[in-house]
Amino acid sequence: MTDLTPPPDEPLPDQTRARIRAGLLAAAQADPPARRWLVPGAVAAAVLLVAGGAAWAVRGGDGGPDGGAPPVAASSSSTATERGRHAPSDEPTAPEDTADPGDHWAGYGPCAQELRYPLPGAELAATFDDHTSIWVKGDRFALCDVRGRTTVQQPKPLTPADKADTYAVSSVYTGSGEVTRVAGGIVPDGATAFDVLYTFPDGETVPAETAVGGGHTWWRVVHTYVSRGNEMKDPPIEVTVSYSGVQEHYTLDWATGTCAQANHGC
Amino acid sequence: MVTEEALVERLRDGDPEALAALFDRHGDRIYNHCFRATGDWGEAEDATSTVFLEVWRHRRRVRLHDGSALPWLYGVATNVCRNLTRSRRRRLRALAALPRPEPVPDHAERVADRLGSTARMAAVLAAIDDLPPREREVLGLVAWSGLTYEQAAAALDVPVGTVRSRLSRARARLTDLTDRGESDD
Repeated sequence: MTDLTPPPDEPLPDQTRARIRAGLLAAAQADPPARRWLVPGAVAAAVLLVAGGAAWAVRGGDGGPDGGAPPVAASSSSTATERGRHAPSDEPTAPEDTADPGDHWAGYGPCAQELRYPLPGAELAATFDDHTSIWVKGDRFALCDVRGRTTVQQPKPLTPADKADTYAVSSVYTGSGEVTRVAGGIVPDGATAFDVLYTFPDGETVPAETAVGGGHTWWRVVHTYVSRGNEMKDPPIEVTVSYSGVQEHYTLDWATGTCAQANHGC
Repeated sequence: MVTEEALVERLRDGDPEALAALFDRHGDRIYNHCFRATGDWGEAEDATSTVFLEVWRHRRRVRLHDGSALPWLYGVATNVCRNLTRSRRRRLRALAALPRPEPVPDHAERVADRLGSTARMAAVLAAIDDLPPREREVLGLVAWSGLTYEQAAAALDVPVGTVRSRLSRARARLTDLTDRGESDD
């Protein structure tokens, strides 16, 4: 008798996922009827965007050149016509290999591959566990966190800036309604009694862990909790940083402070 | 977390990012459903892409079932795969007769796994080839993709009773086919 059990499920290959996603975005963005239909909505959205941008600027415009929203709609329209079966093989790709079209924004490759664009040539400096690692190139570093999906955060300077952006979290949502927030950074050279505490909307206060590597000490905070839907209505994430007898408080704005990832959307 | 309802609302409003987000959420499940329908990973990739392009094209008609767009997506996927040509099924029957490849290490192992799963799926599809298409579809949705009768009904836009009866007939036919196969042996 033939076994009617199909083979087990497999995830879409990374390259294929990236290709399909880019193709979908390209097709949707190039859809003329949709754009015509969208005109009134686009006008309203533009007004909101300008208003939001102004408010953001008034609050200090944290982010800078590297601090904006991640390029979810990557400029990969040229890949839209490629066919996955002819995509490059998924052999390991060095971070320096920026000529590879790759899928750096898709968020499913190993850290080295996902870092090709945010921080090309980055080298592993420290690891916290099987999930989180810190990568350094020149005077910048980036955190990489792998939990099913690979999340690379926007690179930051090795000299931490005294602003909320330094403590921004990346956010990865699961189908079961949970969200995992990850933040990390460098402990300033010479800082004593350094401590970072994050208070999340579920009421949990999570202290940073530290790891040493690459000639520096690094900190990281990870917290997973059930998201209750519209997080904009939740209390914001609060950060308290203590070192050398000084204590600073930061409030992370939703979106700008909770979407630190560089390689995929929030 | 953004609810599926909010996501679909954005999709209906023409937000391309909502389409990408929907793909992020459900792409893998649709991909595997398409593989089980076609028996070919490459065709499943193309079909998955087509499914979400169809979703975009018909975004104002997306329906939610218990707050999820997934049953509707399965319905689109079922239609997309139904329209694949008969030559594909002939090819599947030929593939089903091929021996499984010898496993080889490293990267090639993954390729071999894929070939193995293709051959296995081809054999499964060949075994149910005598079922009417509507019964095969219900079998695929309920038995393989794990949809409830209600979700399958939403996917196929038929009453729940129709899903039950099609599945019941499919099972009866398969039992009959199996019995005949064993007696032939």
